[in-house]
Amino acid sequence: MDILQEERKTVSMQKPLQNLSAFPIASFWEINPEERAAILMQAIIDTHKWHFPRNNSYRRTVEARGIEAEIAVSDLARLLRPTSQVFKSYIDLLGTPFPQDKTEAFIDWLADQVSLHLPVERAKKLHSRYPSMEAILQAVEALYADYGFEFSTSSGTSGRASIMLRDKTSMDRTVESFYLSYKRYFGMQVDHRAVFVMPAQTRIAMARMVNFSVKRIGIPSERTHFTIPFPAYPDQVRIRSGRVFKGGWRGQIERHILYPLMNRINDRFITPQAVKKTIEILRKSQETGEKVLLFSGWIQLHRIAQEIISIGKPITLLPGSLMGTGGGFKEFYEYTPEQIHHDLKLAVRTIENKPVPVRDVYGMAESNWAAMQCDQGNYHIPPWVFSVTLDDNDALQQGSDQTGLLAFFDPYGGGQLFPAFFKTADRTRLINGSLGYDPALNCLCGDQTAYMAKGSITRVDLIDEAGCAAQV
Amino acid sequence: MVDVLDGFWLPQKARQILLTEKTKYTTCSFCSGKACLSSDPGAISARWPIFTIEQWSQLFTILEENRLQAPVGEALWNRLNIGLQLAARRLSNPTEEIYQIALKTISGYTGYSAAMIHCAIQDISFFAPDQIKTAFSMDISRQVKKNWLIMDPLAGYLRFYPQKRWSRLAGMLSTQPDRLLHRSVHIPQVLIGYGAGNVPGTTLILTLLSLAISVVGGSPPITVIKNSRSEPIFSPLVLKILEKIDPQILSTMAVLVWDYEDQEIQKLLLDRTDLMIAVGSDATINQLNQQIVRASKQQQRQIRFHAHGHKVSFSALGKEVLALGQVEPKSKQSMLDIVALLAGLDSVFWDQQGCLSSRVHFVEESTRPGYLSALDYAKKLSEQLSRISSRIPRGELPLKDLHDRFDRYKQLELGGKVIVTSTYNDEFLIVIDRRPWDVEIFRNIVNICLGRTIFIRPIKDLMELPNVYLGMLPENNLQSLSMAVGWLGQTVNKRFMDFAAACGSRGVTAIRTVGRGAFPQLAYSWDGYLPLDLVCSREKGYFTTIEFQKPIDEIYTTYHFWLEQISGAHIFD
Repeated sequence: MDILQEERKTVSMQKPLQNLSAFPIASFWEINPEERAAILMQAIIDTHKWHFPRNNSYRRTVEARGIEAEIAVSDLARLLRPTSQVFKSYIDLLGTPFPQDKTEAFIDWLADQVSLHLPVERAKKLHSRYPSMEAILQAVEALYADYGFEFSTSSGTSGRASIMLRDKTSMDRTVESFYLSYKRYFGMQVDHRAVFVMPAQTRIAMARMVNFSVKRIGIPSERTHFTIPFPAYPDQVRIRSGRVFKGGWRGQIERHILYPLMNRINDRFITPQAVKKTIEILRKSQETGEKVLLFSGWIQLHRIAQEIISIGKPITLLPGSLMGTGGGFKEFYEYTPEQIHHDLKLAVRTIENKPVPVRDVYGMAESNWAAMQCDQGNYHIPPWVFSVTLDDNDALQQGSDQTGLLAFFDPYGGGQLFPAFFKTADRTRLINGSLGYDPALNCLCGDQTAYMAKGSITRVDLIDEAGCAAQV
Repeated sequence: MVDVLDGFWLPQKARQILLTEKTKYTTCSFCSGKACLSSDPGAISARWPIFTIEQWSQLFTILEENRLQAPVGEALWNRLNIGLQLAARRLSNPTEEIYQIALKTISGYTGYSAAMIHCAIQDISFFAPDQIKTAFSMDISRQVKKNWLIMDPLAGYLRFYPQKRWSRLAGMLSTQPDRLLHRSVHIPQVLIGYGAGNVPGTTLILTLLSLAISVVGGSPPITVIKNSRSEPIFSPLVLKILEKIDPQILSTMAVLVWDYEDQEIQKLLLDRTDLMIAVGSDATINQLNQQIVRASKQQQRQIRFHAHGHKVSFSALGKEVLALGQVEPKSKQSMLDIVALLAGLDSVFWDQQGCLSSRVHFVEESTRPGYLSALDYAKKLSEQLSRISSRIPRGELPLKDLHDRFDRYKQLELGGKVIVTSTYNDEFLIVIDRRPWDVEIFRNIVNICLGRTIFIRPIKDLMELPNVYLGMLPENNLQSLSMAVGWLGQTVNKRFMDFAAACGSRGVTAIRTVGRGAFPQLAYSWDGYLPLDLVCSREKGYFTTIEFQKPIDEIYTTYHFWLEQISGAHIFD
């Protein structure tokens, strides 16, 4: 082991990041905004100082920007790493979007990303290659079972999935974060029946988190349903998206056989079955008089509504029922959000003949939190997250009402594996973020937290063609 | 200083008749390169009239009448040349109000720095309009399909690449090599041009090309050019200056703004035009082409179309320029410093938003002692870009994109094959990348070379460029190559000519020396078209021109030219 590695091992074994237990995250709702910002600011400085000597990837990035272990508030912007890069950097470094083909290099990449000493020599116990991404992720989880590692991924519909690692501590924090938000904004309670139009087995972070939140609330398994019976492993999602295939004959099989076949099966069998099963559960809940929480992607939710409308009998549920969705539109869909909302209002109503609310969730695989939509349509960022917007030159924007690229520092929810300081590719109008508070701008839902204004979130990672320079 | 600028130009008679109190205008406002409201701080607004179809017809009638009295033949071109010299003098004089207006408004509208605008408008003669006459008088034989022909008396060489493969083969085996390539004369009577993009000057180039047609004798064509909404100020400004100097030379010309999807206007134009020249995106080019095909069929005549779609350009350094100990005799500067400065300028102009802006610099490395490496070049390029950036700052492009790329490639240094030689605080990014590049990686890299992002690619032999890399890109997207090759006092050698031929066969249409990449020479190939193509038809294909004979001599000349420009760059406070 070289001297640098030895030094890092010594650093890692020193006392863990202390701030995790200082403030139970739920207590942040009770702290006033100015005090909250000050507490979070100090936590960010402490978190940075803790991770800086331990996390190679983070240190390399911020050091190249002129940042050292000791920082001032003016350095904050330079701590942010792009969500689009950090957990996808394995693709560049390994030279392939298929980490299962380069096991040892993948372990090296992982070791580079985390703030603890990862005994990479254990990689010798792994095969040099694995048949799928799911297989390698399971193998690594087993290899480092003593660390309590769990992998999750982004949706992967671009064909290139982000891979995030969490340990038990960060997992618990993340589940706590989601659970608190679902409870507060969606009114999730133990007497709800939870219906997920998604597979029970998936690595997709957002889907896993809502599942864990439901368990955390205490909804029993007999009242928790996953209406897509098949797992959605990363390679299946990749192939179905049709954007990235493996090389050689395997890729030819993926492209010409699996891709059309999987989509046909999905369209003709899986989705209709999921729609049918979901409606059955909703009907039963209607009969037994239950509150339901229905979680689904937009397209499946709309298909459910269309099916109910075509049958001609809307479903009526107890007040307190809610439909939750998220992830945006990852593929082209011929109906607009307005049309979808219209159909949902017709299809699923309360016994008081009001539409069952539909609420969206904004989140990303890289974050340990999600912003839930309130009854005013705004997306509330949890108060333990320091949220800001950046201008086009990556400078923090000060003020209570700012439009720019969303960035966040999550010193409490981030855990000990990596500093959760990220800038996103989403432009939004952020009200009462952490660098400006105006009580007159508080959301009409009554919550006094930072929020992204309804309808203001847009993706901005496309390159503009202003001149005659081609994009090939 | 100014209210709303004119984003259009009409000859005096057209203005008097068509522009009345009742004329409606469209106004477009930009600030720092982004569309905005006219009331926004820093907004620069340009306007153009909305004409009815009857007024469009009237415009053509006026231009036809003007044409009867316009100067003709070489006399027109000579008068235009004089006018351009005088206009250039005014535009390069910081005490002139027109200079100050140009800098402030074009910079504010497009987001390009005032210093960049200053450099670009300094010397219109960089376009070498005096060489146009020569370009029209060339007799190009079919030999050009097989060999490089000297463009005597112009400096440089010319080659033609037929579109059809069989024709390329036939060219190699031709038994009538002395027959002319250009078959028949088609002097356009009406020319319609489409300008686009935010790089100043496209509309002006179309104007000059149209007027250049008069060189072959006769009246200039009636010309209507669509100005670019993204930069509508420069060309009308220059035309206004020219009109004050010599009103008659522009009397057959109009610059307006309309939508090419406006069927009524397009029909009126297509019913009249002989030749359409369009600068635009591939989607725009395709749509216009479809309109032309339909119109040609309906009217049972051939409407010619010169398309200038979106392109990519590169730089290449031969190993000889990396040989130690070479200095420029007058300034005693090292060759490497000079080449790095000039190649840097090729990438810096228009912040790589222009098709001519160089993206990847290919550097031929020698394994023998006595030669510098691609890394030495990268470091020198970083130094020179720092120097350039202090004088010609980057425009109003988001730094976040540069930062994200910096982060990404800095991480890749871990693999040992990538080195980032610029810093996070630099407003440019220089990366030397020795990783294996497949088609996807290369295309991604080409696409992210924007906003002063330059990749340096070491190669073992110059021929790797056409044989390995250019073949990974679509032929119709390739444009120019700016070169640093050769030795002082020496003309290009066979090795270079073979290299140029290979690049040409891949689709490169112009080969210049470093420092001239961003400035097309009107007498040479522009996306494969020569001035002769304006007035003659030929088989489908494209020309590739080499715009020099003694590259190092020309590089040193260019160096002194730019030294003067950069040191005099006027920067607003």
